[in-house]
Amino acid sequence: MSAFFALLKRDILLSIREGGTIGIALGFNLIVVTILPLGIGPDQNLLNQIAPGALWVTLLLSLLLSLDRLFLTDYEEGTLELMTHSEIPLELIVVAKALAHWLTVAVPLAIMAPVLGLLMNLSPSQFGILTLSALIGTPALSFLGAIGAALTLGLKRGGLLLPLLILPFFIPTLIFGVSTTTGFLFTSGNYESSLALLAAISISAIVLAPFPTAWALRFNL
Amino acid sequence: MALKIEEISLKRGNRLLIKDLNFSLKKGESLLITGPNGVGKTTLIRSIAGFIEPLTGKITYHHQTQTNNQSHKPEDDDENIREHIHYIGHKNGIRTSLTVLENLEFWQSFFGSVTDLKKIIKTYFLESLINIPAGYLSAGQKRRLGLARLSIIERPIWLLDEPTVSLDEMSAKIVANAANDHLKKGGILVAATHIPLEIPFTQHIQLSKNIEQDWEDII
Amino acid sequence: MNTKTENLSLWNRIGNLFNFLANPSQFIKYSAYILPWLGIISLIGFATGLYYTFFKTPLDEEMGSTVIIMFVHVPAAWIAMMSYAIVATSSIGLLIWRHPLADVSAKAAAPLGATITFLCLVTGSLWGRPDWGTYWQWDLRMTSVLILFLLFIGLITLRSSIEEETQAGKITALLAIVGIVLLPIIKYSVEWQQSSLHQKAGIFEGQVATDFLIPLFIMAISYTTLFFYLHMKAMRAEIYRRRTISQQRKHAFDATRKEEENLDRVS
Repeated sequence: MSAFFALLKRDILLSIREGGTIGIALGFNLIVVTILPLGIGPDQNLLNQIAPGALWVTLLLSLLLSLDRLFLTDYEEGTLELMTHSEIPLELIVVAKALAHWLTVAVPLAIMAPVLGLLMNLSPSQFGILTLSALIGTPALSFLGAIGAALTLGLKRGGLLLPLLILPFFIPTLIFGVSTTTGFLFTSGNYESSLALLAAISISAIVLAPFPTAWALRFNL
Repeated sequence: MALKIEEISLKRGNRLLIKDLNFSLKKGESLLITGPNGVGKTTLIRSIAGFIEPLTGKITYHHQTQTNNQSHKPEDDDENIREHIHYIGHKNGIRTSLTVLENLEFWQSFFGSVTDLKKIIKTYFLESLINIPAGYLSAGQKRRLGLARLSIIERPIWLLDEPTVSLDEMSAKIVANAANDHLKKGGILVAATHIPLEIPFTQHIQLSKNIEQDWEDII
Repeated sequence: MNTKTENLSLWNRIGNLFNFLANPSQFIKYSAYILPWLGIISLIGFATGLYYTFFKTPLDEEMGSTVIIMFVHVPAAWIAMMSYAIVATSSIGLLIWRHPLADVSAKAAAPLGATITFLCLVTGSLWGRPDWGTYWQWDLRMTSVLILFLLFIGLITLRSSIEEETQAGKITALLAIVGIVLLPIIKYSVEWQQSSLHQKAGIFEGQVATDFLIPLFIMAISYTTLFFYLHMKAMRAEIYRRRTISQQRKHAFDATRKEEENLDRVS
């Protein structure tokens, strides 16, 4: 297991040092939330109503931007193939990399969500549940996204193809994420079931997604 | 301990490069693969490394030497070859934004090894570079850093694909010394190169270009 | 002992039959006999089905004349799902048994599936306009058909962006398999989100009159045979295409070798 933690540690260090990925994700998130009200118009009630959905959609898109780099640098530098010569299976290497992605991209996005909620006139009582649902829902996005990153690895138009392949798979997380956030406000107390389903999807993605991802990586080595 | 290649055929793209190749290497034996460019040297080494699946044939590795053990089943022999391999390919497997030391430390903890990194840094002439990001190194220095992985953990099979490319004579000698040490300790070595190496190879395979293609096989 | 060998030989015979049917050369041979029949059945089916649809169907009390769109729309929805099932099973066949014909089948079925799914969306939208007063309704079934369509588009674009043919086949097959696992989950989540505006699937529950059932089934059979006709035709075209490429490669290979021999003679 030392390989697992070594990789996790290295990927977190790299994302802090290289910095670009999270910067782009956060910046993109901010710019979308900025232009959205400008396009829709400054109707406070309307904004409040669409805020959970709009915030979740921008979260999905921002996360997507960083996904195509998930395996790419390691692949290009020849590190990925060497990682297969380890005692731990490739599936666990995928888990380490997706987990590092979640920690370094999804978690900051989830923490920043309330700030963006402010811009969308989201009521402050929803800030907590928005961050919580984002934290619980995003592991599914990192792990399902890993499948797409592995499938499009090394393709010339990989970064453009990835959203087309992966966004449909993000729909369940989107639906339950939004309904958790809205359910908290409009039908008080009725959000637990959607939160539970959100967690269920994340857990299933963590357990199952590494298998096709590793399979695709082996095809692409 | 033996690495056995039985009747393997390999394809790259749609082209058959190697057909029904056999060889077997025991403790301390080494194989040199030569041949013109594009003949399949890299493909052969990558298939032993487990990156390319052969069309036909088997690649097996037996770690245990004694076979008179009662509880010894044939399946035990078929070990996961990947954990016993050191592979040096065309790419060095170093992260350019990490320093030389950080790169070495990563591979050390990734392989779960406890070797003394200082000694390795000295052997591969990297002392003056340890705190420099690997991206700033010259091609030869990068190659040495990649090769240093060989000494981080002991593994019985070394697969070297053009190990001395972009290396000066001195550094090429380091590689030869490391390889000879490895063979003395009972390791197995497979190398593809067209630069002469100071390694007494026990076997030699010359790959040829004229492999009969099976065009009907493709639909 | 006796039964065992018999079982084994039966099993072998099934295996042999499968190998025989899946052999590309055999496929070219027997598909040539089957193709015209599929075409004829489909043609007759559409002729009678459309005749029933336009001239023999009593107009629905609620829906009026728009009900006849159903005969084009509902079978299209069935065939859309069936074509994804064919892509997915072919993909499993490719990854497990590594049979190249499975790849040919998956490759041929994807654009057909996308087309029929698109047809289903268009007819559904046209049917929805008079009934719901809008061309598009984000209800369960239309949404899941739209997602199915996106998945088909994903499969086609992924395959077309990978140059190496065998690699493209394997990677696309993997996506198809991931898709078939995730489709029900996506569908469930959409279902969970909104109560359906659509009629519940009621074909087998006596909600639809027998007057409608006969032409509907005729249309379903015609669609199915048309699909298999086009699928088989596309598979044959794909086999011929791959053989042509293989011959062109052989030609280039032989030419290079000849050049090298000449060079050797000169030097």
